[in-house]
Amino acid sequence: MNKVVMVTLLLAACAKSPSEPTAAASAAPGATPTGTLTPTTPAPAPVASSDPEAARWSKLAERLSAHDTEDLPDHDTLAAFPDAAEGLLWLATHDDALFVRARALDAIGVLGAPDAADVLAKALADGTQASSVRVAAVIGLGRLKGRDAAVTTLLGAVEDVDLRVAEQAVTLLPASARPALAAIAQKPTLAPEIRAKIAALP
Amino acid sequence: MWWVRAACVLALAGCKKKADGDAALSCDKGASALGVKGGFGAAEVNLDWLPDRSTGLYLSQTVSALVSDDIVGLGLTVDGGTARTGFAKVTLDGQVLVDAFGGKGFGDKARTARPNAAAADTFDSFSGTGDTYYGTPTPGWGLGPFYLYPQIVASMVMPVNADSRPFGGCLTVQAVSLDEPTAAALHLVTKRSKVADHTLDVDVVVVDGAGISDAQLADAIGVMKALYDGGDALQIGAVKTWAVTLPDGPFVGSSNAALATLRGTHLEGSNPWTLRFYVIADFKGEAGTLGIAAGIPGALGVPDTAGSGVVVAVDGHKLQDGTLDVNTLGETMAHEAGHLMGLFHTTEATGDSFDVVDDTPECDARTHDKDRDGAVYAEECTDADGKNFMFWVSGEFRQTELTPGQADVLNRSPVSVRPEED
Repeated sequence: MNKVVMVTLLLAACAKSPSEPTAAASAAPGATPTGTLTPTTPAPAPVASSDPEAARWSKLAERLSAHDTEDLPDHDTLAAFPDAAEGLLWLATHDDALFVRARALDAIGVLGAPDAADVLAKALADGTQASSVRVAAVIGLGRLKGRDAAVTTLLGAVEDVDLRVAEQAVTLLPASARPALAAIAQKPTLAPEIRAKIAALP
Repeated sequence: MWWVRAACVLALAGCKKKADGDAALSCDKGASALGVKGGFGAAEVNLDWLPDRSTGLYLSQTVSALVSDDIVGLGLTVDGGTARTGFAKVTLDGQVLVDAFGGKGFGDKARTARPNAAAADTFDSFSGTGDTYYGTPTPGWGLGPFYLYPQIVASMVMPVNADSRPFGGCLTVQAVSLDEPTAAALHLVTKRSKVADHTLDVDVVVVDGAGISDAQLADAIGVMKALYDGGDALQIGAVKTWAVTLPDGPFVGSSNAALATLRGTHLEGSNPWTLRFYVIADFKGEAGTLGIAAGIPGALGVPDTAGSGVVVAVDGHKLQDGTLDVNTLGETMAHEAGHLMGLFHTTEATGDSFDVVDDTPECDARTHDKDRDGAVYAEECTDADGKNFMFWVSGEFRQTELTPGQADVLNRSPVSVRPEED
């Protein structure tokens, strides 16, 4: 390599931007300013109710109240709680905080009791539950590793009117369900967004 | 062409990015000190990688920079095109702070208990990839007080406790990548002002509306402000709001790639010293996630990277009647921002590992796990750190406490001050 080429290469290397974006960053969007905020003082949080049943499951509820999700209980930790499945179901249907309800449904899947698929199917069908909680029921079903009852419910969820629920179900169905999923994708009633998600599956 | 860039560094001192003071970064006689006296300062340096045949790793050149005696806070970030980047060796005035190749972590007085030990003990266990890294375990990583491990964007901050306050001297930094790098920069940010000058400017990026109003945001930030005020920590300064639209709307995946895209959101005209929150409706594929900090610490003073900022979800903070619990949202913001600025949980779930801050009470399972269920809860720890907002779990009461030692870490954060002229 002659000296000119060498120097050219060296200078080109030196000129490289130190902030060269990663692939992810290069696709990043831009934001537009919308104003400024002055912090305000909210009303005090309401005092929690003293439901005796809530007291029974308070320790389980607190275990689900970790600030960070990596501290949520694993199977063995959940199994160590007396009547854990019963408690999780109670929390999923009675706790005031949606994140506790959602985590309880996810935990039902982690615990994986024999009737977990049925319990989660009922939660998914419960019209009083918020969208984020029904999505959690789908996530719990996805943890049941392809149990037939879970797969059947997930396939039904693909046609849910809540697109969050439907999209989550598409992503959690096992490969063995692909033929059934392909058949659902042919239905004219299926939301185009969900059809596109199915088509985009690897 | 790693050799070209390596040769560049070896041959031409001019490759070095200049510091704010218009002098090349070095510890040579007459070199300017890193940063700017009186406030926030930032500098960045191109990293050039050399493969190490004996380990299969890629090592950067050793960057040297002079740290002045008035240093209060120091943040280092390696931002690059590889998913697994870390600090190979960091020294300050001859003291080894980090040595991933066998040296001990900095701070002899640091407590021996190890936050997140199971995750951070070795890279092998953390990644779950089955890769091995220079033998396991890896002394110098996963050890206190910094508890470092490779990340998509690797960051460390000084101080994380009283023993790790930065001091004047020659700083040397060598980065390491476990994958073939495509690009990389080392960012060095400094706070060179009085500790008492601790104003935290905040950018709030709202994704597709996220189901939250400005009034609710103001309430949540008010809660965060009150928590910091109560602990004699950061003063919340300017709070700017931003709007961004993403292809999938306000629901964002929790994968590294999805979060990297979100965190890469560019805010034209934003200041690098602001702490950024991304407010989304919910995380896809996760149940009830409240918030995620980019790291402990995250990339401080370095916006738009995959390791920048805190993401918080609105849906997880809603109640069954549809109302938003702004008190809990504000606590989540304070907690996750605490992580981003270098605070660990005061006590971890099992009650046998604790943070490295000297004055935080410890809720030791041996004395506090009264029901012997293997975890310590806020209610069991009210006479210790159960009411501290960096405790691992919330309780039936508001967690409002912060110790002077924790406040000192926050108040020395390099993002807790504006540039002097601002």
